[in-house]
Amino acid sequence: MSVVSGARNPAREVTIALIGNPNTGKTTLFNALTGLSNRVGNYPGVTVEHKIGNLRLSSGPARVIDLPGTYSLAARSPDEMIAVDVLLGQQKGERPVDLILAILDSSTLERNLYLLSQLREFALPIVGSLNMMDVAEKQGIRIDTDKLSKKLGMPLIPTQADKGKGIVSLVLAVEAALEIPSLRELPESHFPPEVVREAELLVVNMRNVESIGGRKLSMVEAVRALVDEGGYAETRLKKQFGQGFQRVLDDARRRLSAFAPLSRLETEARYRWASAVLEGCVTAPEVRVKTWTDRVDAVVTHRLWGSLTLAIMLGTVFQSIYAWAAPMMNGIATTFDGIAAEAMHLIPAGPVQSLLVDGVIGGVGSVLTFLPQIAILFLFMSVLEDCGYMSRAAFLTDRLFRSVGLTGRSVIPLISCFACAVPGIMATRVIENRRQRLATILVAPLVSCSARLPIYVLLIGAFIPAKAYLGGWIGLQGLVLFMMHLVGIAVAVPTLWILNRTVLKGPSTPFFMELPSYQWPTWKPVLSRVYSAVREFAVRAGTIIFSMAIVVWALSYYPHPIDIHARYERARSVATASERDILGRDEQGTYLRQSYLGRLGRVLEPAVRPLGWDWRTGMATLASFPAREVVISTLGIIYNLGSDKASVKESLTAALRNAKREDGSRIFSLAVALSIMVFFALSSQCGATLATIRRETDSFRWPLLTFGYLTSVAYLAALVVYQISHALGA
Amino acid sequence: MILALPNFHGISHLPGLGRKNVRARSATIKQPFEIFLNNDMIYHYRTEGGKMLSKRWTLNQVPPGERCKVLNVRLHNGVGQRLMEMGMIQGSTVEVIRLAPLGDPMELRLKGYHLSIRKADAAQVDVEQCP
Repeated sequence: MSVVSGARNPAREVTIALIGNPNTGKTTLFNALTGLSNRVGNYPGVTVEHKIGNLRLSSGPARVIDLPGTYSLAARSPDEMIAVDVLLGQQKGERPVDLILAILDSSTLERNLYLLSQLREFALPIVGSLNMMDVAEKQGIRIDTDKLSKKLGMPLIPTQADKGKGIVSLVLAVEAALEIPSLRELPESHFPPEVVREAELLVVNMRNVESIGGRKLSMVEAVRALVDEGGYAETRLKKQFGQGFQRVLDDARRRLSAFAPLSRLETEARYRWASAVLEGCVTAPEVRVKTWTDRVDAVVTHRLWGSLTLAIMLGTVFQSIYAWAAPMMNGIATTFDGIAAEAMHLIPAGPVQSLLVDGVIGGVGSVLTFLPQIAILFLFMSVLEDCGYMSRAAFLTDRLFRSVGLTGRSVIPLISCFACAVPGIMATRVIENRRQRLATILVAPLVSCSARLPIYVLLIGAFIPAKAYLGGWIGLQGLVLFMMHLVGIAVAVPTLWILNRTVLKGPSTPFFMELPSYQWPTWKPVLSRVYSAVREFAVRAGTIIFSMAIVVWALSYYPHPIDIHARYERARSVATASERDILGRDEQGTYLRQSYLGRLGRVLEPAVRPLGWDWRTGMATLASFPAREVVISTLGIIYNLGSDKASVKESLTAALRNAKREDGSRIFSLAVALSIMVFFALSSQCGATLATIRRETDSFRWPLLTFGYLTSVAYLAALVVYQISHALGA
Repeated sequence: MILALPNFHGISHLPGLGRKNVRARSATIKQPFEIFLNNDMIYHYRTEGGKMLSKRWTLNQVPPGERCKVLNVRLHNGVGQRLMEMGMIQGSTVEVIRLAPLGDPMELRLKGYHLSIRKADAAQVDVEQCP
């Protein structure tokens, strides 16, 4: 029987691992312990993030690692293996742990004790935080903390992290556990001696085998490999030790076949222990107390009222991103216009002025425009997740998503994409399953985002007659607008079908999820999450969008033959004041037409002609790569309407209707309008979205795949739509 | 495919069971007899003189408001292990609270907390009705 000692090298900074079930208030406790000092960390090879913060102990500084919430240490993926690796002190980029701080939800102790029973098997001092005492009290659950603490053989501190109660006692208990070299006996294994013996044999056998990375096999890992059939421990050890390990493992499992399946053995043994421990220490009322959670859920998950509440909730999220962000975005736009105007005063005309005004200021402006939307979405999502509503939203919508291979967790990210795909894609972090998260990210661009709206409105206004049906109830224009939003969804379904059978092929994953008690959100972690999301976007995706804006600027500016300017100057010198305005816009248009971008548009014209487009539309589409809204102002410039957004819209409608080619035939028609709208609905040439996909998937493969696939689909769809509607005489 | 069943009206109220999809294993009803539904769910009835004695079914068949006891969790592809880790072990009591508006998933109460689970996953759990 080995012993745990609390003594450690006093010169080294203490490392504390904070671990517990999800929804136990772990983040709140972490923030209470570490204050504002925490930052996000990322271990190599995994996508899940963890937080690290500093805690001042009387003995000196300490680091607290907030490990991802988990129900058990049995890992099925690299992400889930982190906790085990960190606790064993073998995680790359992490120091060995000196103490385990386990956080338990007092109202669901039995389930929490499952993880605790696994944590106690590490040779580390352990302190328990009995959190959410208020929730337990409200349910009428009484816990004899002293008795339980004695039975477990570890300090247990009742806490209420959101109110800051018990934190001081908790820190004192942690200090005590670290300072005083306490001796704690490692608990008896929950496994029968035969299993323990086989695990020891495994460790001994692998001691002399070459392992990739030089790591030695530990008892904990050996047990996990034995018990979790097909789990990640087994997979990783096979990679590390080679084929020999597979053989030895199979032999061991064969010898233990009488005890199979081992996972059942483990779960039943641990839960048996849990109820034995809780016996006499915890009393719950005979008849379950009806809590606020039950009352709210009766409405929120109700067949009718629940669906209604969900619709309202989603509508509010969508509306808020779309509508509430608008004044902020307008404010930003106005500020930047002001800065641009100032720059135009201060800097003489020329490439520098243009670079600064159109390139830099325009580029930065386009990045900052996204920030209000991201901030609002993350605010909503953090609040909904914190208070517990998210799981109910997933519960209500799961059936819909099941048919396309996703789960209800994708509902809020996808709905947010109706406003803007960028925060929506960032929001997919709530989806734990990697494959489903990736699938959601890949179809996010298909959701008709708000940037496409000006294009729809413009083209529908110009080419769809303002008819109404059903006595004025259904307007044709509104109907077409609605249908454009559905186009994306219509393509998303077969896309998901294909993805699930090709690139994202894998075993079907179960979907079950805890529905935690409702609680008031705590503002500090919510606001800090919003802040970190915004900051991350501004830095990461922002740089890419900004660089693309500069590139587009360069292509639309150069070459910049002086003789065009000279020509217009001569015309202006003999023109009246109003004519000068027109001449100014003409000049802008001419410059754009002869730029590299314009030439590129003309080169590509044969490619876009089957879609019914001419080179001007093609060019505007290219120019809108960094941000879709740019297409309107680009079209404005091309048609010599200048780039002032306000005046462009009305005159652009007329300009589009009347635009004629050299031979006199109309450029735009209903068929062309439809093909443009369909192209924009399905294509994913928004640089901001692609940059965000790159950031969230941490690779270039997926944004490139998205771009390639969706551009092709958009092209084909626009082609089909144009040819058919043209043939029908539109 | 219907074979003549005594007391058919006695079991037609069970969820999922309708005249169209019942196939009894034995034409002459001996005790116990089994009913296969869609070839993979089993109703297992013990009868004595025509009276139904015990009902045994899978978790996805338990209607809302009823409690049941877990008999067995079928393990494959890791689903079973996760379920067991979350408290779905032999002998534990599970209460079905409600179904989602679209019929799936189900909300359960076990080990003092609420769990949302898809019916397809709940079908891996054999349960017994609580007396």
